[in-house]
Amino acid sequence: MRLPKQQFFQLADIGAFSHLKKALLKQYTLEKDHESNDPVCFFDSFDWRLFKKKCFVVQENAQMLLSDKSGQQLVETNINPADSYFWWDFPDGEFQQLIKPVLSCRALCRLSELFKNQQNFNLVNKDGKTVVRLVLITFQDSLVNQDQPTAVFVTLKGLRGYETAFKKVHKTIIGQNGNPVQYGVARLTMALADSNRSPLDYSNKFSVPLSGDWSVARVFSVICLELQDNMKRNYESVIQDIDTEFLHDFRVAIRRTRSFLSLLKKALPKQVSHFMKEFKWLGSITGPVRDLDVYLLKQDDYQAMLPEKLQAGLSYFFQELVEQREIAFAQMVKGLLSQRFEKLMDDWSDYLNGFEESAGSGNWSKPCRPLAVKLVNKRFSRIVKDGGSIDDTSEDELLHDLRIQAKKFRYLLEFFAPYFNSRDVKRFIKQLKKLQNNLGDFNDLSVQQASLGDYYDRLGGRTKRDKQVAAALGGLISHLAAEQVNVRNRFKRTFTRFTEKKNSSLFFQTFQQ
Amino acid sequence: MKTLAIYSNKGGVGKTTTAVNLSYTLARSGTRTLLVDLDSQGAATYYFPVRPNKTYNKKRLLKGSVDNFIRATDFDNLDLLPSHRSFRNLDLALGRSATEKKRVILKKILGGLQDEYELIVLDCPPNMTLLSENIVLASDVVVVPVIPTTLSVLALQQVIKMVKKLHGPRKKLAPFFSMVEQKKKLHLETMNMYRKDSAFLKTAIPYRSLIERMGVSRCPVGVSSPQSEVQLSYRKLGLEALARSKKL
Repeated sequence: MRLPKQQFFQLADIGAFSHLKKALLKQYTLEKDHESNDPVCFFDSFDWRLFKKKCFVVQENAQMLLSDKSGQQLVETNINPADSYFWWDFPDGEFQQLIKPVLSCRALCRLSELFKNQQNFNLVNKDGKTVVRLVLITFQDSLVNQDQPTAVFVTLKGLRGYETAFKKVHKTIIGQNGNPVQYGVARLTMALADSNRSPLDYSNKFSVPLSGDWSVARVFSVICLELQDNMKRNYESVIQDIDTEFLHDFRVAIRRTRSFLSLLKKALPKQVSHFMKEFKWLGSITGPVRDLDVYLLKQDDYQAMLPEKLQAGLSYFFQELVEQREIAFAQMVKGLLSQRFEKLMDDWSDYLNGFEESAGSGNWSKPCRPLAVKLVNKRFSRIVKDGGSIDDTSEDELLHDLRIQAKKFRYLLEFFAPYFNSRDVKRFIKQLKKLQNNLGDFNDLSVQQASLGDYYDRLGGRTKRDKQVAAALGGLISHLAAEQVNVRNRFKRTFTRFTEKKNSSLFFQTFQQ
Repeated sequence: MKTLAIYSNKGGVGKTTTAVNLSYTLARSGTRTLLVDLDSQGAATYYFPVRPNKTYNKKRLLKGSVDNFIRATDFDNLDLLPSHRSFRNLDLALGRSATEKKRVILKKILGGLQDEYELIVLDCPPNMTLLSENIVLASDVVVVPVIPTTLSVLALQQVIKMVKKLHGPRKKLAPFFSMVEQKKKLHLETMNMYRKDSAFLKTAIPYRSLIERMGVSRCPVGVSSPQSEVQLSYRKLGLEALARSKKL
């Protein structure tokens, strides 16, 4: 007979535990073992990467514990308390290896802090032998409120050879209204109850529900407000520079806003051109840091492209990028803390909140779905036409233009996705993504070559260090150029697949009136 | 997985207290340990205090179906395979097996537990029978408690002969001085005689009433007196015996 997996139960309150104790005392002696009081901090990335993988990380003193959704502890490690960590901040070992692929470049951020009281009891039989261990875990928001915990959990630890006793105690807990819970999930939900966060409340994927009868004006303001909310949610962490993805998501929200405004440009009041100008400014002040981040995130990839002999030169290059980023970051923060930014945010939300009313009747008051269908179809035809005219001899510029069009098209599909069959939209976006990846890679490779080339041109070439950097950059540029040729060669095939009958039919069937 | 047998053909030399305290101290340091009580008197079983499953007996043990009869002690990392009164005839039961197998039956049974435990400690009965041969062949190291007196040393020599007969390496035997009383001249003289014998473990266990009181407290010395000299000696002895097993 094997012991079942560790099970946690939630009790209604501490009074319920007293009842449970009474019931258990009829069968066993309860010996209190050790007790502990510890602050517990709950961690995840801003976009819930661990939660999505059904993993939970808490910090108790200097111990970081990773458990599964049922509360089963998987692995632990030691680290000094801090507000956020990257995977590489943890000591080498299993913990680091487990979180590395999940977190990637995202930081593990502190979400909430509670105080945990843990009391261990031994259930002892008439021979004086412990047959089951019972753990009472209570959480409270401060050390003062120990008598009125926020949540009460109990769990059992079975002992080999005493499975019958374990089952008996398990039954008693159920009989005393112990509610079996997935401890990992229940504990996190409880910890976030009084905070402004809840699991999966943020994703960088755009998704806002739209009702079929909403007017164009309403849809316009709802989508723009959602994008602004996205900017606001990332804003503080961008300034605190917690990880690179806050700025990335912040900029995506700006880009989506600009793209949406440009799609509706003709219909929008003149006043909006002021906002378009301001969002362009916002894009421009945040661009340099992001560009440098992209390089810095590629450091390992770049190193791997070069033979060992040339790698030292690249390290110098990256050292310099780090210094450049510091300067660019300070410049960006200045912009983000400026009155201009504050005014843009305030004016924009005021404008959007009053938009539906001020737009009045006319086209703006009509239901939005037909407009969505029209815009989506128009964009698709344009991509098919422009992409179809690109051949092996076409200028690179045409591919860059097509990339921008594809991006705008993608945003449009995501904005209006709720109007269409979600499964089909996803299927179509998957195909579009393949085209975007090809165009994106082509663009990245040419931008990278150009800026590495600029840097190369500026090198003095007199010192040994300059020579090493030049050699590394030369190696890198030729590697990137070769890769770009490959990507370009793949374009035709990728584009043909995107426009082939199967995919076109899917498009027309999904995005019809 | 390593197996340490705490064995002597002489009674009253401290085998069970050594087995119990060694298992406890090594389990406490994080080694997943199983203590096997092979002595029909069941003193080790009594110390923990475990009551064996009613269906457990020598037949089940020799069949190798021990998995369902192992019981957790009150201490982390330490499980116990309890004793049973039918173990008094274990050697007779072993004798009924086929000639080529009868000396390695215990080795085979314990081999089935290697995925679960890092260490097995055998508490053995005081005799020199087929069971003793099984014990020697199943162990990496045979830890022999020796009271520094003439009779106890004589008993050790008999064990040495047995190990030799079984073609075991000399270093497999790890005697140590047990129940040492510093005020007894004979104890000091005997210990001095074996000072240079490299087979002897360096740690000696002193004679203390704390050890005798284990029968009352029904727990290892490390539980009732974790900082005592005796507990520290058991800890050192355990680490030394384990290190010996890793060298072989």
